[in-house]
Amino acid sequence: MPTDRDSMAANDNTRRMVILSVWAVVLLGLPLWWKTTRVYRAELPYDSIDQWNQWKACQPKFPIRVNLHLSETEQQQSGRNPELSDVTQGVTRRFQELNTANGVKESLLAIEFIAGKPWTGSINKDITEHTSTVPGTYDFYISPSNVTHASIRSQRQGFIQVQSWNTDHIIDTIVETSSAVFGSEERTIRQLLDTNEDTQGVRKVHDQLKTVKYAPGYQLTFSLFSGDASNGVREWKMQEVIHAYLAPFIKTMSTVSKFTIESQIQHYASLAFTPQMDYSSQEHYLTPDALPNFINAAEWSLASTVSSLPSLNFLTYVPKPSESPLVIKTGPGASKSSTNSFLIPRWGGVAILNRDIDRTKRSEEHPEVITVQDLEPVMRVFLTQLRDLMGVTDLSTTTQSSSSFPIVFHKSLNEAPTTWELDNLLRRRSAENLVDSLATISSLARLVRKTPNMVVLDHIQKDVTEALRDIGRSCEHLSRQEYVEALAASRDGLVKSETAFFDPTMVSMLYFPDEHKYAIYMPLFVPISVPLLMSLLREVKRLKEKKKQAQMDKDSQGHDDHDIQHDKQE
Amino acid sequence: MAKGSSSNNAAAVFGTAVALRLALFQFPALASLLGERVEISTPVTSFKRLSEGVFLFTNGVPPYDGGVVHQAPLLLGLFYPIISSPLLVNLLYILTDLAIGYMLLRITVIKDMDYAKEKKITQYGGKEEEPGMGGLSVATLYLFNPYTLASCIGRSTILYSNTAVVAAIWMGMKGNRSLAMFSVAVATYLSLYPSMLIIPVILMLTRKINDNDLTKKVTIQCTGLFAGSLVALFALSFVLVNSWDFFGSVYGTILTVSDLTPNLGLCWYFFIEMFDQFRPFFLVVFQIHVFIFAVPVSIKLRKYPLFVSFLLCAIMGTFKGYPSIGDASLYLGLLPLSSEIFKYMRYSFLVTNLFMYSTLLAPIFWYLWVYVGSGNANFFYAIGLVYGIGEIILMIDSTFAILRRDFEAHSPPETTGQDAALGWDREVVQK
Repeated sequence: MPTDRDSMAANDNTRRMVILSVWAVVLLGLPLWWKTTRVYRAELPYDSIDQWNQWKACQPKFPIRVNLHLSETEQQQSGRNPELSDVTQGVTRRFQELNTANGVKESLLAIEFIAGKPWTGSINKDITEHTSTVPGTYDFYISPSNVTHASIRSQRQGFIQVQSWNTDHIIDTIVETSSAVFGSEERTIRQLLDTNEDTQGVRKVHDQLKTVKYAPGYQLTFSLFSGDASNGVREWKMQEVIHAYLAPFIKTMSTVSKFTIESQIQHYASLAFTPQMDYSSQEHYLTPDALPNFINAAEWSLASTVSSLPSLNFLTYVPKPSESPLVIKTGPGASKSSTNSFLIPRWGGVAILNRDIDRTKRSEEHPEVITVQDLEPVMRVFLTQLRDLMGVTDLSTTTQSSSSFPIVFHKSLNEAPTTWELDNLLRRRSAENLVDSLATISSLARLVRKTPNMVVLDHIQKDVTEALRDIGRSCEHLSRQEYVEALAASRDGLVKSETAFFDPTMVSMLYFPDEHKYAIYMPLFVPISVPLLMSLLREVKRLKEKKKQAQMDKDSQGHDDHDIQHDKQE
Repeated sequence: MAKGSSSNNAAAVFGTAVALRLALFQFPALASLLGERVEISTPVTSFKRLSEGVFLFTNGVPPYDGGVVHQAPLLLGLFYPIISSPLLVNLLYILTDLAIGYMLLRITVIKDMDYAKEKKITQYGGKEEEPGMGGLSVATLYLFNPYTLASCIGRSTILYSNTAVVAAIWMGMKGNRSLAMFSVAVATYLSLYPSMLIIPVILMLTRKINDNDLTKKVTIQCTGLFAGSLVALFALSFVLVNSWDFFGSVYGTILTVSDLTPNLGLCWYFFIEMFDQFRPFFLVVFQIHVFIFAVPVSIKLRKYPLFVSFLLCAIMGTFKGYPSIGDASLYLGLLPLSSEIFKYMRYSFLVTNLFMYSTLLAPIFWYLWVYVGSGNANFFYAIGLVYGIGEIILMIDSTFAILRRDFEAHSPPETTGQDAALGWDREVVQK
């Protein structure tokens, strides 16, 4: 039956061609599979991240220059004049000794004492011509007096009066004053930059609990919440108060951060709970445990829609008559909070303003208006809270105890930071930013290392590299005593590192283990591959059988042929 | 059968088709309603988008800049002079639809001539197989198919791609190489997927050639003609819109399924739900899947190029990124060209029901999901799946039928003896 065999052969051929053509496409698809599911990973600069983590790439230094000025008039009067150069060298040596005693190899605040011009002025007169405008450069004016005394003036100036006019005593006094002024800052920054992982976390949480994360701009929202319309509040003179009390603070702070301010009044903004009543003093009171519930987040609209800056809220709450007067104390009979206010860390402040309605009605023309006088104590509280939130350290409170003679810190108007405090803030914020951005980058690097199927796109790599560059730039600026530039650079680094870390393309692949891949491939490829493989196997089997058949045909043809075949096989 | 009566019949069919379409076009609300249905117009075939493109083109704005227009530039050029007159636009649609009907009629005539030369299949009982449907019936089935009507009234631009496909088959059957290849090129140019029809059309062109070398030569010549026509069309498009932007906007959209407006297909839901990480991979899988069948089907059924073109059109209409009922109207129009296999099909009833079921329920579930909100995307997608199952069963069943017929042709049934009892149960098929 020749025709039958032909048609069978043709059939076989067709089937083989069909299987081949399908497999050809499948094989063609394999490189595409590899190509399209490849996890793209841009290489992060791990080496330099590791270097930075140990501060090997650049050790941040915070240089401080102190110009020493000795009083000239006294020099002429007494016979033995202390030499300025002796004083300078002595102070420098003493500082080195102090560091060695504390086990510190190198001080982070690299204080350099420089012999300045002698001066002839009086202590009571500010020496305006020598005012330093460079952050980190200060002038100490030393003169003899009856008692040892130091006064730190607002314009980067310190006046030191010493009891006995000799070199050793002068050196002692200067060293003591300097460590009083810079000592706590040195400790704080040392803790911040500490790369020892065991102690790092704890201290940081404690120190930075209150302070808001650094941002180049903040939105301050002053809100008046009136519990009830019957308390007679219609209006407050917030604009005037802001101009009077907040303006100096904002002006001084503008080298660090800018502020935008808005205010709002909300009526019928009642508390979510009823305050307790103390019958003995006829006062309603809030215990400290109740304070976390004070903000009625569900009903009070506090979210600002105006800007995207991080916002700080300052609430003034005027209680309704049924819960007035409202005070904060621990229990009935306990003494009440003198400021009647509290601070919410990293969020803002709250002050409760009790109004004596009868009194205001009697004495004032417009009892419905909260006047500037009414608001003044509230605003003072807010200013203190704002200082805390911004991380402005009050030098007078941190350094009071240790010194053997009185050190007076002059304050500037309306709680505005002094130049000393501002420089302190610049240095600390830069250090914080450096540490934060490095922490972000290194945890990103850790994450990427630990998650092998995480996609790392080119722009992440770019962000990380640029952040590292900004950090380096900031560090260089610091070492050159360019604190404002250093802060700007460190902020850029922080922003970039956080952009990289919170990039949506990375988050999507965070929790994507390999097992998920099987769940994705199986439903599609098992049904497809079973017939593909089966047909291939069957075809191979058929080919084998055919060969066997051919062999057997040959075998049956003749013995000789078989022998030859056999030999060949051997 | 007198020639006069047949031409009278033809006039009646085509006349009724025109009248019906004209009547339906009298309700502009119906046209715009159908034109907005996701089942009828997809992002790549919507008349609304085409009008937008023509408007932009008229006003000198590059039409492919905004990401709205995904139709080929020459289509914009075609509509540019007539878009302001709804009557002319409607007439163009009606005439194009009629042209498809006419071409189907002509194809049947050529096919019948081929068929007359073939050895007749002996059926059970020693009867000879009767010839399939006449040309007019095929044309009628196309022209009065509700899908065709809806697609035409909804002014889906898939109609022009369908015209090119049918023209390619007609020219292929006629043996006109250059026109056949040009038509395939036009169809490819309009909606890309018909490029795989080049294989069955070449099979048609070479079906009467027995010389292997000559076949090869013709194949190479045809491929050249196809490529040349395609390049010419692209060049013409470039001259028209003066930029190559249309490549990304027309073919990029088709290939990457970037517009995920829901439709009757299977892709949109997948790509909405998919992890972004796997999108490129599954995109490749889905697109390869459409094309993978072209070669094996053409090898296996090389004796039946008409059926191959039906099957490939059905595969395109099922698995492409933006299928619509316009695609169904094409392959349902091509199916009667192989009407001799109908008697071997086993699931016609099921398939008919699946099509009707999905046609009725798709608008309802769409309404429930989009307007009432008491359903969700799964409802509509489920109907899409039912529709897809209907299409797939139709393909499987018709392929089974044609293979069965092939088998019958090679081994005629024995009217007596053991084979009749032991072999395939022919009685069931023969009824």
